[in-house]
Amino acid sequence: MQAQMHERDSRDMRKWNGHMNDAGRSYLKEFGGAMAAYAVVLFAAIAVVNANRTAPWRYIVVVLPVIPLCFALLAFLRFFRRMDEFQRRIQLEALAFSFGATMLITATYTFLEAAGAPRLPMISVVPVMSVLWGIGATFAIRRYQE
Amino acid sequence: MKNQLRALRAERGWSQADLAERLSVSRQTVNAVEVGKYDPSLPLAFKIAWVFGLPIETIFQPDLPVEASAPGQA
Repeated sequence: MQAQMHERDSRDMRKWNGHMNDAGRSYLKEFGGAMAAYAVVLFAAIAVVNANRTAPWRYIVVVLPVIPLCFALLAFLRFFRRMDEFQRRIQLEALAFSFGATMLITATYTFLEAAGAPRLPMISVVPVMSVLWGIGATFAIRRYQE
Repeated sequence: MKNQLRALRAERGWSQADLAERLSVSRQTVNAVEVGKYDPSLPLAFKIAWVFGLPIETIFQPDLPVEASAPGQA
């Protein structure tokens, strides 16, 4: 009986992993919409600025893609609040790990730059942080499993 | 904290997914509570008790020394 329960549980686990819950679904919709808008505004802004390379207002146009990114951030924050308490804890631990590890890595690279390593663009921090977030989530989930 | 979630669930023939749906939480959350890796919040613990129709202390038992009695008890 106990073994049967275990077997069914692990089957349910796979089913759960294969399905998004409601919070995840609405997040993907909201986040996807914001990113689609971002792509449109980004390409439009690039085209406009390329055609007006000396206009003083180009500084305003190039930062316009940040507006749809703000909506992506709002979508993420809403997702965070819609998660259940345990999922929120997992994500919080993952974010705490990526926050600290990103600081360590950026500090380390700053020292390397001082010694002559090539300067990297600021945006390289974003993929580093994202990957560390994923790693953090993997470890956090593992800690709460049997 | 110890809990009787797995046994209670088995009595009723519910899968973790069934219980998760009744509690409006993820299956992963039910599993973490069940294996004792995650202690639910007070509201979630009360909801679990309500779903099973049992007092909360029938389902969850703190890891206290057996001989210890609460300060409030004579």
